[in-house]
Amino acid sequence: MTPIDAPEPINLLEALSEYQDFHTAIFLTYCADLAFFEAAVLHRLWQNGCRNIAVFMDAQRYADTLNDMRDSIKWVGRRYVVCPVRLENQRAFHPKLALLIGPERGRLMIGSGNLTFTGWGHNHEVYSCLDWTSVEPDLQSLFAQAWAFIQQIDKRWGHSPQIKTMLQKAIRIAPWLNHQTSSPDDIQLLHTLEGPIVQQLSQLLAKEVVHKLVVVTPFLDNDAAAIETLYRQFSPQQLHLILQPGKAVGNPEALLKLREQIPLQIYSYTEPERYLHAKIVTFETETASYILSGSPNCTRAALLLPPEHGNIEVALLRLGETSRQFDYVLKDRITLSPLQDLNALTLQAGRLTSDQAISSAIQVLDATVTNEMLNVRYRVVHLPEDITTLQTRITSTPPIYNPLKESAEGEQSAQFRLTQAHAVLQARPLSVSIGGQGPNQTWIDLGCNELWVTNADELHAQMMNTAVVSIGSGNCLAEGVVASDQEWGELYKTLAELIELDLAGLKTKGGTYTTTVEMPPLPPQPEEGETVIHMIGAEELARERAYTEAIDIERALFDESRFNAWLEYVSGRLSGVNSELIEPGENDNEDARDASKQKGRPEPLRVRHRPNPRLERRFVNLVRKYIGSLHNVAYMQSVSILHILTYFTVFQRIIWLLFEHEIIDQDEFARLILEMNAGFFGAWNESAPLCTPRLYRHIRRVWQTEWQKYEVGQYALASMELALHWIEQSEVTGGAKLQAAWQMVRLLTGIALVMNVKLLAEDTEAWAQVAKVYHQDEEEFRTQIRERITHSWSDALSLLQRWNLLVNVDTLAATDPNSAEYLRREQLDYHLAEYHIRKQLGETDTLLELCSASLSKAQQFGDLEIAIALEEDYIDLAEAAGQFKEVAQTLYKQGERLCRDKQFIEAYDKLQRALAISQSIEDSTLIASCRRVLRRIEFFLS
Amino acid sequence: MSKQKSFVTTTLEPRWTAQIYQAVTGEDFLGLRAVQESITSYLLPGITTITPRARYYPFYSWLLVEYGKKHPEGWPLGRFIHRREQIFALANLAWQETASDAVSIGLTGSDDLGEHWKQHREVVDIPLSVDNYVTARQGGYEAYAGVMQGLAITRYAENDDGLDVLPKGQALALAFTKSIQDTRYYRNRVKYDTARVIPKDVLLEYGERCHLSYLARSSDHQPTLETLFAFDAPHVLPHFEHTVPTLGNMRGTLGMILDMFDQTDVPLTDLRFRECITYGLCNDFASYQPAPLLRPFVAHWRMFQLREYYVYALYALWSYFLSWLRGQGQQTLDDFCVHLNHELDLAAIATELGISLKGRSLDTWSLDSWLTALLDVAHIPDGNFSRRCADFALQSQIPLQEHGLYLHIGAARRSDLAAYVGITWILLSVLYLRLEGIKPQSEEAWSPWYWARFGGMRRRSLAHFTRDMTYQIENNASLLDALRWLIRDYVIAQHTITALEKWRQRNAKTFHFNYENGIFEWIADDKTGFSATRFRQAYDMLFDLGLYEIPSESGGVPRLTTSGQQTLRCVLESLNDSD
Repeated sequence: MTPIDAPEPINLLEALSEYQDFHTAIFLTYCADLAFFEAAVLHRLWQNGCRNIAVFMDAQRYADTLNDMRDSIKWVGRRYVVCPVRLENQRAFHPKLALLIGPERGRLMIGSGNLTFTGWGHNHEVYSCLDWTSVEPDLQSLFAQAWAFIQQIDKRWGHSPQIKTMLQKAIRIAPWLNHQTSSPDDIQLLHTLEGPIVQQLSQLLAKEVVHKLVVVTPFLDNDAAAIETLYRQFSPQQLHLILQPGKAVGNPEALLKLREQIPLQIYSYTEPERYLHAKIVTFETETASYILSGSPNCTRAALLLPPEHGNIEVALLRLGETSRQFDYVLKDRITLSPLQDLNALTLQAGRLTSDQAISSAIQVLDATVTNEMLNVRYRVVHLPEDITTLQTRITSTPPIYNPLKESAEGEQSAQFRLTQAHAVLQARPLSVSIGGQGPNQTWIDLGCNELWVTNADELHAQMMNTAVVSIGSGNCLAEGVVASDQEWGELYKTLAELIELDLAGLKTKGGTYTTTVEMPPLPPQPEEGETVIHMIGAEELARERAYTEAIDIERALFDESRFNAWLEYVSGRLSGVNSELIEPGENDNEDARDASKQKGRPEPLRVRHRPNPRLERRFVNLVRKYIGSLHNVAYMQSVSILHILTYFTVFQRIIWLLFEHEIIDQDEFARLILEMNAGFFGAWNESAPLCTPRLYRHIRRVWQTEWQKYEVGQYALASMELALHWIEQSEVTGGAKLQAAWQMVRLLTGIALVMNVKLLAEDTEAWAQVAKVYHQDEEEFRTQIRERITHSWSDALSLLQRWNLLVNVDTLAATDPNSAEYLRREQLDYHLAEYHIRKQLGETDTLLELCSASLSKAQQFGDLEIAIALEEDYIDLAEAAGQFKEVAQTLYKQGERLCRDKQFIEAYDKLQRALAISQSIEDSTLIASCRRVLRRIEFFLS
Repeated sequence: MSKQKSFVTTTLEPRWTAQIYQAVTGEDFLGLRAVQESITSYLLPGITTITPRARYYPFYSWLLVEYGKKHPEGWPLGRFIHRREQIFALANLAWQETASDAVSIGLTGSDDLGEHWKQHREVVDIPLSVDNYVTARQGGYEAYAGVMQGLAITRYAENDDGLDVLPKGQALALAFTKSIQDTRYYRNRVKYDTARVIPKDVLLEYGERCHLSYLARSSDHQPTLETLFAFDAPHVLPHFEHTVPTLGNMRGTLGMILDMFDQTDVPLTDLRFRECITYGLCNDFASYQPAPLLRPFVAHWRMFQLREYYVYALYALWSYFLSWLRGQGQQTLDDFCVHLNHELDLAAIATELGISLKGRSLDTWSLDSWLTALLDVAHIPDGNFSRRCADFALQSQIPLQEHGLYLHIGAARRSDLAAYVGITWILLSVLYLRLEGIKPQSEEAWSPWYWARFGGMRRRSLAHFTRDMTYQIENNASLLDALRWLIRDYVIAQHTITALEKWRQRNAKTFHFNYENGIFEWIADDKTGFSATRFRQAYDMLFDLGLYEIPSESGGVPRLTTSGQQTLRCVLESLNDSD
């Protein structure tokens, strides 16, 4: 049988940048040449928009990057993070794997080459490159295995919070990585955390009779134990060992001895120029063949030893359809006949660098800069007796030393504000180590490791610096003017592209935007979808509460999205742009449009252009599909909240753009706005948002900052106000008008659940922006909206009371304790909303009770921010009601908390007030408490 | 896993990996020499290492004007130049056979056309068939095009990609025309543009008028001199980052060389020139004391040459490291440092150089005390370190002097540890002291020290070197620490960055070592050396202009001619008038 021709060699760098859909790249390697990595790999990943990049490497080799090559490295900790994996007992972290992750595509590269110039581009290495796509998910289980392998490594040896965040982001953007499916028949991923490779091979090939075994390796263990074990395990008739003369490392005597015992034949690799670093084992049976390729050499540490004593390795085992399937690998590369004289091979003795002291007195675990603070985590193992004080050394030029307060054994952390080092950090990577502090603050070397500082501030800033796809389309939206069909086309393309690209799981069908969502498989559930979805949501949110970093991940992912970059541009361009607009002359007679125009606007520069009918249809369809998605429960439960919020404001503006360009008339505008608001806030007659599966995630106070940032409330109110204004003037039925009015009440109540509407109405900067977008006179428009709000308060209060009841019912009916607790917790938003509305309505008699209830709920659930805000109100209300003891107690609590936070002056004022009131009501216990804390404060203030 | 099951992977894998590079050639493997190139371009913008003859300026100006007036239909400029330049070269070759005072150094195409001439010298009609005497598309003009723009002879036309010949160029063309206008060639030049042969006597007649060596006696002499000295340029030594033309620096640098001719009593070689610019501002350097108005130019050139010594030293360390690696096989950086610590006896080396230092091993000898010892042996009076460095910088007659150390290193073999590391380290130490001494106390917007900062971290600027050395001292570094730091950051890392840069730009593998698993493995050697000063080209041009002569009895020592003295006076006067 003729061997198959060898495929073209794989260019690893090209394989890395073949596709642009990757968000995350994770590399596992024994050693890394970070200068090469930055110049060749990082560069390509960045060009393709992949910014979430982590490298795991052996700790000893990590030290080389600091000791030998530090000055050739520029971006470590600033554009990617490297994690040293520190194994005990002389073990090596030895895998060579690259995993590229995107929402719709994954690429897994497993081979023998380290992340160095020679490993990726000079040596003779072998690699496998595997792809997963949502269309061809056959290799799902391999990716899931690789992902689990990486997670295990991070869990056991990773100390970088930044890498943990990266991994969390990756799984958020590509939840498919976690889906477990059955393994494919012809390929298996093996790694040593599961047990010795040779043991796994034995299990996998248990039913096979191996005739021939071929081993290619650059390293053999000193007594050739691994090759012997392979023989004993599989008993092949032939055992071929391929070694490169002058380069391979091994003990000739051990091989000679072994050759006397087993049918070992040694061949010479004939390609002399490039170093043979590939590691291959092929198994030939009667009818099939297998090939193992990856990181393990034919050594005891790589193949034979259990996880706690051996290396960490990863490899792929492939099944070939014929017994000669893998002959192509060595075709024309080895001598025709085996070598008789082993001296011809001139095997090398191993040349290993000296081991770094693993058991040093102290170990730096992580060093991360966040908000210009350097956070150092370290573990003190056992300090020499003469060392009493420790200090960190930041190896900038010159080095910066900071004493450490904690030197007790165990894990410790310290924080330093970066001043001069921070400026340096902007230009070059820094590293940190810890040593003892001798006389005159001299440095005493304790054999501590050194770590590159992760500059989370800069990493985050770089993530935000994502390429914008279309500045032109952003400009159109910022100006509110689309001047040609081409611009309309570009805007459409951008919206469709950005929205589809940024949404995990959102599918493209036939190149058009669709709201069809492919959801990750849910656990088995009964037929009544809505209730079950609700419960799932509650569980999810309960988890969210427990792990607030999930929200941070969502924020971080959104920050680095291209959509956000585009949005920032749109927002940044807003100011001053609209004043340059032109109105097409044919619009002049339309009263409604005139009414919406800003008075006294200067002469414009660009002319609005109504697009061709095809484009008009596409845009209207796009808006309708978007509105449809707001009513799609699965979609609303899968899309990130930040996308829900930002799309809402973008589509508000798109609808206005369509109206201004006469693509839709005012009736259509009003209808679309009503539908969109009904989708986003719920229809006027729907249940409370908390009880509505498609609404419970985004109408929550926890997103208050984002609502403010993206001006969700303002846009909702502004567009509804315009819509209502026209509906009221139109000839639609009274019922329709009433429904619209109720929709406005629902909207207002929804906003009240998230934020204080009074504060929203007072945000003059945001209103100025919104008024410009809608071409309204700012003052007039705000007054109009303020009046509308004022008139709607009492209806909003009624609605809110009804919602409260509904939530109560749901809470009582909840069988799952998680859901019940979640509902109770979230009800705080409803109490607060009611409190704020009543305050607006001036209903002082119920305010104290409401405020007190909300305050205790906030304290109960640890929502400190809300509690602090309510305390001030509570003091005023209680004082007005003559409840002086409560006032004094609250003031005392405030003072004590401020004292704990070292805000002594503020604390002093509060406690003085508390003391005065306590004395007036003669509460001796409280007097004593106040005096005790005051004495402490006086001590500090003195 | 069983063969009866279905197959999901269809590609043939695993695969061998591809080589990610192609070419393996290159130069400047530490990427340090671009800075010096920038300094010479600034100080001598009208001359490069490939523009050695002054007469090409009027000749190419004439060609450009001629092409603009008339050329065979459909001929691009390159073809026109190739034809006329071929005739020009043949005329030069023909004439110099008859005249002892004519030399063809720097004659474009002299290799191929020289051969052609030899083959046909006996015939009456010389074939004009060697259009490929040079590969450049626009012939020899391509080498001069840039500097002709720098000298304001030509400029790119504003609206298309053609060239404008500026008034200076037109004047040069006219002057060249005058030199050759009564030759038969000139009269029939249009015919010879397309002729297959040219009579030998026509060439001889033309050669006598156009020869590269006869500029001084021709009509185009004065305009060429004025162009090269740029007497009309309003600015001298303008800020490098400003958009002001640097043309005026020509008269300063050429004037400085004339000033050296005026003072020297030994032949002025490239090495002597380097010594003069390094120590011209020292109080004790008798060989050359520049005229006061030329001192700013010497100060700029000094920065060039100090960087040359510095780069030379780093290349020497690099060469030795490679040489050692070649001999030792796979080694770590720590191994190299252990080797230095065991083998390098700095005190012994110093003794061989004629000074006495109390010896210690590198790891116990502090950098601070080492530098102090150097100042002591240079007999610099006690005082604070800055003051002592300033005094040091004013002296050239010191036992350990850069130029002398350079000569020592240059005479040694690359594997000579004492020279290539020991003396090199002394050279770097001396450079540090001198640089510290001339460093301005406060940051000046524009001064020669600018060149110390030039190149930044990426090109290991002199300012970074002094700053880092100072930090090493402040950090109580030993000599071994300092050497390790230099080798690691200024040699190994620098080479890595440069090789990766070349790989990215040209797909070339220029790595001289493999580095993996903390181990270095030798691939190729490299050598140290200076980059070009352009002095030799300036020297030749000044000779072409007849500004100096080398009397046969002078032993190679140049003497200014009357024209040279007059030109030097003009330079000084014009510098006096400059802003």
